[in-house]
Amino acid sequence: MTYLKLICCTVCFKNGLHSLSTKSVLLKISNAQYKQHLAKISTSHFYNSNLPLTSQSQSVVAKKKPKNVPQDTRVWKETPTHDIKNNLVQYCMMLSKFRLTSLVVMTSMAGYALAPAPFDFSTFALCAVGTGLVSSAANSINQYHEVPFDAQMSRTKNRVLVKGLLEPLHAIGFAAATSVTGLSILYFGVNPLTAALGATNLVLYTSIYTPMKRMSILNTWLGSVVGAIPPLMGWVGCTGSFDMGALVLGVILYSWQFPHFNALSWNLRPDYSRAGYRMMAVTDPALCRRVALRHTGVITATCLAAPYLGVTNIWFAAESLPLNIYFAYLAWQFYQKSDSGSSRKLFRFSLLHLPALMLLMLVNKKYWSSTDTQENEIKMSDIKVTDSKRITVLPRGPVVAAQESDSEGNKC
Amino acid sequence: MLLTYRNNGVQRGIYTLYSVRNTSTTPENKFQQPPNPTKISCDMVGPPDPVSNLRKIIFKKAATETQLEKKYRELRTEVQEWNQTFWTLHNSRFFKERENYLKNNLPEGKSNLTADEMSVFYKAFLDKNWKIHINYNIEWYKKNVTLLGLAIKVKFRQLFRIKDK
Repeated sequence: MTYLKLICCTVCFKNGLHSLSTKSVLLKISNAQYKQHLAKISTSHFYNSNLPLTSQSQSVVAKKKPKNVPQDTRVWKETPTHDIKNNLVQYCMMLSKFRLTSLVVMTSMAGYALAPAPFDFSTFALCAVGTGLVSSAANSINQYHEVPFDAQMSRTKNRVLVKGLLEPLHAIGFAAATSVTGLSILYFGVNPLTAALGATNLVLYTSIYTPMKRMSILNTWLGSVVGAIPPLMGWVGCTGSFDMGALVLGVILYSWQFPHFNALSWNLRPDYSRAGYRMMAVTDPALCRRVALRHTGVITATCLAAPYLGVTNIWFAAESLPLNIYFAYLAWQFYQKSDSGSSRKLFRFSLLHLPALMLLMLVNKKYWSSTDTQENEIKMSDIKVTDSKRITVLPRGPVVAAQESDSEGNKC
Repeated sequence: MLLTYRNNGVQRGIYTLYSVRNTSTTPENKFQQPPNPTKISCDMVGPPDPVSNLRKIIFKKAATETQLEKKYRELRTEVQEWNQTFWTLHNSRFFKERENYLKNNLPEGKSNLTADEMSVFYKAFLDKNWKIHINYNIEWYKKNVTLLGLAIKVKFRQLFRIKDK
């Protein structure tokens, strides 16, 4: 009985089970082979059980569905949706690619916290908020540009613009509001250099990286630069200038992007090929694995060098080594086996590796808080002050008096 | 309600459950039939197309639409059709070429190729279609920006009309 199976399907879905595949075949309406046609029968959010990697991004969307509204299973729906006001927060989160933005904000906060200058909580908060808003704007513009491409790929076909829940004007309006607010917060609340970096990143991501994804594999290197800028924004927000520590943090974030992204893209090769995205995983799989491995080496080396460059204390090198070695080991496995299992492990670990590494850097920071550097400065200035006091307190010595009498004597 | 509709197909049963919410199409319509542009209260988006993966939008055709709104609606329709044509052709070509590749390279007894073996095909397809993709990209960006400009104008006019009233 097909309707019984449908009930099973919807019940299973509501309970969060992923195994719709065998049941879904029986409920096909058309002769199409794609699972996305289940949208006609059940709700529009559902998992592609063959690609658990994608479920990470889909799961947030499914959980955020409004609870007080019965699930809408109509085939034709209003576009844009009429329940925007009820779910404004959810839609903003979807437009901003909330999980990605959170990671970006975290790296920016880490950059601020690691910088060797006084920690000012309000500036720190403004930097985080500003970075988050600018990142949201960038992601929203990216979604606006890529609607037909996102529709082609399983990982992205449930985005709000693809499904018609929001329209392009909403995305651009949201982007305009968040970018202006974010950049203003950075300019007035933090410093102009941070705002300039934020604006540069916004332009790089939306106007250069996004089109380049379809033109050349060099987009991955540019995208890594885009990923490395937020911690620099945080650092510069604290100290006001670039220095060695900023470079170290930037290099670590830049190199991290490669194992992270190359592993993610490995299982999406069919989709990328059909949608026309030029990624290393498709055009040069050997290069893809080599680059991922190479950059785990760079991360390990940079972390070992961090104490000698004055960014962290010596313990950081020892503590980060196991983490980095394991990361490199997973990259090595990926290089050797080049299969979906090893790529998935590498991708998942990269999501743990970055926050863990940031935490270790923070805990092992060389100049622990504002007090460290300030105390040093105060000590230096104290010494100078006491020295000068000593000189003035002493009465003019006999040598000086003698010279004066001499000169007086000479005058006479 | 589901019981009574089991012979007519599941979809219809589900449809009537929510017919109160659905003001635009009547339950007697088959779910596949798109709504009438003159009878809907706002634009409606449909299911993804099996080949092109794009969702068709039926644009509301108001009796009182202005020249600008008409232009906007017609451009949106045109871009939608252009996209639909491109992706239908492109995706069909992809699957046909993939079938040919599998037919030529599948050894006896195996039903699937490994990911690495398939990646040769994926790379070849991507390289062959590079120029087509670049041209499509440029066209798409131009059309998308034009549509955005028109959308902004239409929105402004609508806001001012409401203010005047």
